[in-house]
Amino acid sequence: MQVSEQWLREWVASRADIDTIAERLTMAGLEVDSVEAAAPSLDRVVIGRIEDTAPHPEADRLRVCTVAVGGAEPLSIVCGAANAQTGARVPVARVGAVLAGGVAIEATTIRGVASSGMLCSASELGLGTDDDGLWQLPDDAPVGTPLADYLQLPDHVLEIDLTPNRGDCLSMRGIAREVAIDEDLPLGEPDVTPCAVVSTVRRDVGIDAPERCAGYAARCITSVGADAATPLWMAERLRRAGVRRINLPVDVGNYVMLELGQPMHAFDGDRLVGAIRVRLAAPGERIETLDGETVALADDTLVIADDEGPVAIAGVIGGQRTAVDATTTHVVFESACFTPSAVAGQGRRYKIHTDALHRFERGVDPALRRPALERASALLIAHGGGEVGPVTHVSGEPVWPQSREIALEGAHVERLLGQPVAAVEIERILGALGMVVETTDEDRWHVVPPSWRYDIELEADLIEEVARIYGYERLQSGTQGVDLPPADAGAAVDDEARWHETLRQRGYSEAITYSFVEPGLHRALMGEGAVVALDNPISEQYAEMRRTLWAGLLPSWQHNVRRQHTDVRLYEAGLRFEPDTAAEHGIAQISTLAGLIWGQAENTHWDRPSRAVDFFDIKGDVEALFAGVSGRLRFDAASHPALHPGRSARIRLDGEAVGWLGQLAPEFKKLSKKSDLPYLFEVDSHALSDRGGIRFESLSEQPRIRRDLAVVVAEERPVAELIDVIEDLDPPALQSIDVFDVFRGEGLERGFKSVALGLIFQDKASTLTDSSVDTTISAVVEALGRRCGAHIRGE
Amino acid sequence: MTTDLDRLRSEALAAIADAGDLQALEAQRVALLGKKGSVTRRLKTLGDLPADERRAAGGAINALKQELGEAITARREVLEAEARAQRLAQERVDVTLPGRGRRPGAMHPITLTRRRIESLFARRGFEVVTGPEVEDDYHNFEALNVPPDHPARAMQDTFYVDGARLLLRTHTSPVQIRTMEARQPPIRIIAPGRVYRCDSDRTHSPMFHQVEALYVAEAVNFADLRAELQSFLEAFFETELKLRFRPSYFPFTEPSAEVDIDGRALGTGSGWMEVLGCGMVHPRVLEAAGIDGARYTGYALGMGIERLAMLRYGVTDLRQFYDNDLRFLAQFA
Repeated sequence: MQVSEQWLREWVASRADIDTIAERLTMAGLEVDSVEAAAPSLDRVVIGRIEDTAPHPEADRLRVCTVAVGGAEPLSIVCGAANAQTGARVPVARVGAVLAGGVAIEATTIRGVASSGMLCSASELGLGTDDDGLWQLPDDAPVGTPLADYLQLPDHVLEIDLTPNRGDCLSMRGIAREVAIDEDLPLGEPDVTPCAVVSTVRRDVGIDAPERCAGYAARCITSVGADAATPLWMAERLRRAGVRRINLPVDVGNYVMLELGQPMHAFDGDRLVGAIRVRLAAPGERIETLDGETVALADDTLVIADDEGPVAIAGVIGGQRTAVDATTTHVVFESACFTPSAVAGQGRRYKIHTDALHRFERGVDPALRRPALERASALLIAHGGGEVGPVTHVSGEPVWPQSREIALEGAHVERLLGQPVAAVEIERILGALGMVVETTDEDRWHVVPPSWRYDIELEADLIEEVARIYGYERLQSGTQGVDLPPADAGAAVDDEARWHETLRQRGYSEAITYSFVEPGLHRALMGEGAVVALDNPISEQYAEMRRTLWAGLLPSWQHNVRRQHTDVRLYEAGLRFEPDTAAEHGIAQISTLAGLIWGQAENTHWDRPSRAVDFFDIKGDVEALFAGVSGRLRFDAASHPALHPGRSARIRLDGEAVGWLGQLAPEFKKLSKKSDLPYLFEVDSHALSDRGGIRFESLSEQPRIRRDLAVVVAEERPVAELIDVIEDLDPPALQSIDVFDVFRGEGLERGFKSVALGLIFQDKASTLTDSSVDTTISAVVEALGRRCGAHIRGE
Repeated sequence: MTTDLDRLRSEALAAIADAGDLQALEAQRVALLGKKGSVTRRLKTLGDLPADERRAAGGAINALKQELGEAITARREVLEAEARAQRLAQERVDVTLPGRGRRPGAMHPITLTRRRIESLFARRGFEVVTGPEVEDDYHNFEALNVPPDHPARAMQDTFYVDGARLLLRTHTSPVQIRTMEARQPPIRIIAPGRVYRCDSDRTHSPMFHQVEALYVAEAVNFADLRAELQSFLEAFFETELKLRFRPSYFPFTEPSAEVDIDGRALGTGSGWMEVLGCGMVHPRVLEAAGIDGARYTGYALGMGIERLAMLRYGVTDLRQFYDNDLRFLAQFA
């Protein structure tokens, strides 16, 4: 909402300066975004009259104008505008003026003819965009007067960012009301006494959807001057409010809307056929709107129709067929109250946003349509002439069928605000806001909100009004004995801290990528399958909710490779989204942790060669993540569409599948010019929570014994199976098993490998003897042979 | 005899002084004082002397023996010190060469900021709660007093899912509703997380992060909220702050306020900067969640994590948060 300071002061005679007014409005909840000058500098721009024009001797399209600017000699100015006609009154930028775009006016010679100044259009002065040549000022514009004085400048424009509950402030009246409260000033209402009715031309009105239209007033004004000019002052006020000029009847309607808050519509009465009906659109009906679009109307859209069909989408936009234009002499003004629910959703449906819709969506004062209609009538006949007919008014259902009375208690004010507010202060504030306040008991009232306030329904609404006008800054701050003991932030917070720290210490940096991902890569990574897709993505690149965090990490990896990083380690934590009929809304939203490594395994160092990362680097990282977690962690070779079939594993914790790791499959080669592809992991975060807690075990004082075994097994036999076989035996005093070498080649049969295992024994109570360990080892060797086909190397 | 001994003494002392290393010194010691050493030999031949000379000669030889022993010890200490110094010199490393091992990575500044907010609120008794990001209309809007076609919906361009059956939450407020549906006051939670709005330009990201705080109990009031925010924001920015509570509108709170910080305290220039929105929980919100509004009141506040991170770290371009450029991330290590 753009508010001219000058116009505002006409409504309320505040003694405060504009910055103070802006500050007060902001602190009353009407946030003033900016206070700007209403026009750029117009220094040395005066009103001139073109006395004579002559063709330019050297240029067909230029004319040499003799321009009176009052007082001194007329100026000779070369001008190319088609409407530089003798007798026109136009703005003249004299030598020394600097125009809006920074153009400095100098005495100059144009193709051999001296020119001392410039005749200006409105846009050249920074005063509008509607340019058809020179700005033609009214014939009574005083020649020689500075244009700024004539336009009553300087003025300021307040840009106010209104919240959607304050539809009542979408007018000068509404803003002025808020300004007046502070200084307890009266409002300078415009004259809305009914116009003298001199014609009998009227139009019948019927409301078929009374629950959507609280009332409809129409008036015919005939014999209006065709193409009558909008007065300059009105045009300037429209401009300062950011409203485009159209023609006098439409401008008058817009002016009244800005002034009082009542959206108006002007029809050409000669094009309106028969009676006006307020009804729902009939099936298949269409309308060509004022902005030239033809739209098919839905059957729950409220329209204004004449005998030939819709002439407007009610409260939204008028139709082209009955539009007012330069030939119009019969104007029918509409001043109606459509309910917020009648227009709700229509803007989005038809992709139209208008000032009228903006106001009806938020609620228009149902008491306003008669005064607004009188005001518009008076303005139109004052500037366009015409004969005023009688008002046709039809009522629909009231906006508020029940009493709007709200009970208010002083104690409740104190309960919510944390301090009492004096009864007289409460009464003063609510009264000044236009509420009817009736005292029912000590510190108890019945309050009826005014017709322009749609947002006051509950006691809390009244308390907010009291707080807002009393001033938040005057209210106390401070806790009043509410006990706030520290809380455990929650176990999930600790788990999260652990994984962040583990990965960070292992060189990973945290990425945050969009949860919506590019479908092509996504499907390639996950295979075809159901996905959660967005109805209205910002672009096709972000159309699906990720089923894997890799769909975001891979583009981040590419970003960094393109920026010449030789070493990328990234992780991300967040939800992934899997269609799942068993989950709420049919979508499992799974808290997930994923990582990616690529490039050098270690930072470049001066005493050893760098090495590329491999499977066991990322596996070590995953093992580190599970280090504090109780439960048996296993990695089983398994295939995944995103991963290299020989280098991928399913991660299981106590048998439950909780994630994946492996190298990106060769099919994804095209993602990077680099030869090596990254390694990835993804685990369900719940698996990383420390479920068992820590249970201390006493330390053994006995010596440890280590036995190394080198066993030969078939290549395809996973080492984990050897370890499983040993663990299944549950050998006494076995503490741990290390795999310290895997060897293939010389001395071994093709297709076999030698695995070196270090077994560490330690008993809690007694010193182990060699012979007891030898017995265990024999059993181990026997079991490995029997179950894995293993034999001791060299035997 | 004396002359002979004098000569031996001066030769021995010279030899000790000449010993260039511990091995040579040991050889000298053996040659002089060992079992067959020249001094030891003289002591052994004392018996050959006449008795009256024996005593004086014995004294002189013993004195020499002691003197030489001390000289050897002194020389050994010198040589040992030299040897140690030499060994240490050989073992010297260039301490300026870079250390070995992987440099740690960095947490994302959004996470750093979120965890900082969580920990400050945890100290104040707030539990961290999370909720789904694909939400239904009821939890995201209706239960928060935003009925269909409410103009406030236009303030939050919504991503819809599955033919508008579901949506991506536009704020973290649905977690308030889910929490209140599940338990009765006192409730004291914060709900951090990702939120989504269908808007993308230099100052808007289609995905960003919020933290919501909710406190519902008996006798919670607006003054509590103000005090809480003053103390939280000062702790967060580690400085005294001037705050401004400006009346505003959110469908789910009443009274509602936007909170501005005086930018001078943060060195971000003069003027008020909006940092968050808050208010007393709207009676209809309590009612929809099944909480007795006659008994309980509450406050709620919500803030954008990106906004706080930008202010705290001086990041000026929102989009950098989602590029995941390692040069950017490394600055938060």
